[in-house]
Amino acid sequence: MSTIVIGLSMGMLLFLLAAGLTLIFGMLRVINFAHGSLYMLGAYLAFQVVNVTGNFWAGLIAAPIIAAVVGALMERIALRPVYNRDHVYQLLLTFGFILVIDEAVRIIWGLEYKQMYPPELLSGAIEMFGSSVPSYRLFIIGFGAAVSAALFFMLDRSRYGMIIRAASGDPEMVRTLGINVSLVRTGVFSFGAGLAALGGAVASPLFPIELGMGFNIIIDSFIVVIIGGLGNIRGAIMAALLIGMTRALGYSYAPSWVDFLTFILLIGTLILRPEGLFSRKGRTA
Amino acid sequence: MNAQRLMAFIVAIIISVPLLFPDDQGVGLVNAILIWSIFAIGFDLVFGVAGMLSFGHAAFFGVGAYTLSLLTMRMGWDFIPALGAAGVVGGALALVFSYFAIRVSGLFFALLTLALSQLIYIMAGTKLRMLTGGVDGIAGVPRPDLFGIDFYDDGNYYFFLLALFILALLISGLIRISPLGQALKAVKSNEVRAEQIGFNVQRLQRSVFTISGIYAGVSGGLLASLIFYVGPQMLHWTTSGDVVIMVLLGGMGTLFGPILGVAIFEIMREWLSTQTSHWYGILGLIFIISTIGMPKGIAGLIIQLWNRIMPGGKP
Amino acid sequence: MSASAENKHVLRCEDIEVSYGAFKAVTNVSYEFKPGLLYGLIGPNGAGKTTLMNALSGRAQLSRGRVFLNDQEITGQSPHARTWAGLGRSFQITQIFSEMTVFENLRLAAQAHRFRLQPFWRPVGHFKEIARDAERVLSEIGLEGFGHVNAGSLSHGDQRALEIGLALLSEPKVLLLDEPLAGVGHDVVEKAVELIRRVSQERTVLLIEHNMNVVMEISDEIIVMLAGEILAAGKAETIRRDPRVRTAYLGEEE
Repeated sequence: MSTIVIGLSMGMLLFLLAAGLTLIFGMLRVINFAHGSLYMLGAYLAFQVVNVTGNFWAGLIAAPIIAAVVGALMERIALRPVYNRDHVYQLLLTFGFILVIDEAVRIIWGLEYKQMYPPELLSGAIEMFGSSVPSYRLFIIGFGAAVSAALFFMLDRSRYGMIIRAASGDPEMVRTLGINVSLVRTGVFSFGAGLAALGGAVASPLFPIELGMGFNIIIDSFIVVIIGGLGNIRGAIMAALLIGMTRALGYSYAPSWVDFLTFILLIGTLILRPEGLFSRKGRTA
Repeated sequence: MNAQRLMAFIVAIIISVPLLFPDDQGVGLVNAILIWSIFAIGFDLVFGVAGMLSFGHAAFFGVGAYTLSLLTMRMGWDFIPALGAAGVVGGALALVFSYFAIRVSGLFFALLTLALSQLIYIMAGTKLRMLTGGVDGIAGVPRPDLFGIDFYDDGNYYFFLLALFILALLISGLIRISPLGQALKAVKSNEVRAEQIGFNVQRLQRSVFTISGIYAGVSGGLLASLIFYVGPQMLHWTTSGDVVIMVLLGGMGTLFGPILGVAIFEIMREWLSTQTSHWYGILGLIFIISTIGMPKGIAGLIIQLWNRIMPGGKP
Repeated sequence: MSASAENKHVLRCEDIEVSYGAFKAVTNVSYEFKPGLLYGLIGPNGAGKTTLMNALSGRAQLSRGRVFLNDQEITGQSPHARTWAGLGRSFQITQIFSEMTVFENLRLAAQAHRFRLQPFWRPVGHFKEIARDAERVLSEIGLEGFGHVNAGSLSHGDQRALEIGLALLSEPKVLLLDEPLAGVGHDVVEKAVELIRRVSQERTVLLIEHNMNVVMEISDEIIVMLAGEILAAGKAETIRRDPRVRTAYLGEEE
């Protein structure tokens, strides 16, 4: 039981990152290498806010907002000038962001590990089906599910979702309809950055907060995004849960093979269905 | 004289610093520049010529370093055959990578090469700890023992590295103007058309990736021997990132540009790291600014300036 | 047309189908292309003409059926292998190496045809035979004197001619031309038609074209597609009178 809970909670965390990556890719055709750094930034920001206010929930709210501002600045200052160039340049810029964000974190918070604790309310464990499950993990599952539901609802039903979907398909057309596409781009990048930081903030009581945490999770997020089919947010949630479960099962039965299991999934996907396990139609060129 | 020759001239000056001003610090720096240049020249065959962005070259670089170290230290091989083996193993691993990664294109390719190289990094730190020494790495990597010359002296080792550097440069220059190089440029320019006129695009991409892996393997082996040490850091993705920065900074797709990029990078590393402990962040800023403002790198800048100073001259 | 050639075919497709999900872009298409003829492929937008061409040249995957070139099955082969087997093509959207010169474009096609493994040990300039091939085709397509011009800065009509030249260098037995006249200025259509006529003398050509006058005038046979299927095929006169074709195009009652 606890394996399932761990797997689901990891899946939810991965989905928060993968959703942002997917949205950004869908809208801007940019793969954001710095997404892991934003996740890490979220964890540090949450740590800082909690340290100052003493309130866990304040951290959970403030971290994504600050990161969203950082994301908006990244998009405005650096990415906007290079949209008309080869996509490689945009990816390289986001790589540059990693170096800068990591350095900023190092300057502000130093090198030593930071530790966060779940709020009082969620620090215990709950008996479920005869085994004890940390309630914070359950919270992550519930929280992640709620965020995903809100996200899907927003994309499918709201006007913003429609604009985003239309603008990813045909930016010129949307522009002629009088919608400010460049604002939408900034908004989506900033929103994705916020989601990543939210993931970091939510995850912060689970793991020690450290500089390497961004990179560890970004590789998994990339794998999720590839397995789910790039730009396919529904595929991303399935893939996130699949990877989360694989990791959790791996940790409990064959800890030293965990990374291999994920990579086997990735390589298997690429060989059997390069367009992604969960995409219904073929990937367009 | 044209811009190309001007760049060749600048490169020649940089690499002959130890001849002009023999002092220890300069020689050490130039030796590092020579080795990283071999890596960057090979990387640019994939990135600048064939248009494939790999974020996995650290794997070939690091594996080359481990191969050389293990063969010389554990198996008692001579340096030269071990260096050859480092190239072969680097190339072979690149070939394996390419079978997976070429199934996808563009940005996917970057992600996949990154993920695969990270797998190698993880393996070296865990499963293969017995072989690689885990996070501690292996110290005491030797240098060649040839003609009774003491290559443990950096000034002497310089000549060995210089010879290999020139060889690597010549081979890369030849590949660029050969039918293979032209075909790769065609693939970069328009993959659909390249395939339709009868190029086996995937095979071309696999071959250049393999060649580039050989370059990386050899340079990795050389770096291990330069610093007498190999560790998992060489396999880490930041090493892949470093070579990407070097090539982009210097000018992708040009023969001499990557070398200029390496020189700037290494000089900055040397200088900035004595000034501040945050040099990597500053490097990141410089990288961002130059990517936005100088997409063709220093080489592009030189060509542009040259054409302005010498109007009417051929670029 | 001699009797023996009449029975032969150079390209044959058997009951092919290309589907994207539930949508069948091409279905139930069987046809035998005879050597040396020029086939005009017409049909309204979305009829599946380009998809059929993609299926023949290996760019679209078949969900059913088989394709033969000179009685050799090429189903499932990659585009470059089909080029080697003698199937050349041009594209609806011009596909050239636009930042290279016209000569370099042609030389690339020549080396792709000459070398199975691309040599890397000598400069490309040392291989005189590919330069000769390129020069020959340069004049064949009427671009003498443009060899050193950047392909991207050619006029649209000349780019289309260059595309045909690129295909010619693989010495195709069958040439697929996807709207080679689209966007070509009125004043040069004549020249382009002349080029198509010329290249079709030694080989089979399948031509997609919307300019009905041109198609009717130069084609030996016309194939009409509608909704992924071949609606009718035959000589221009027969097609003109075919009531089904009239219905499909003009919405007339039969």
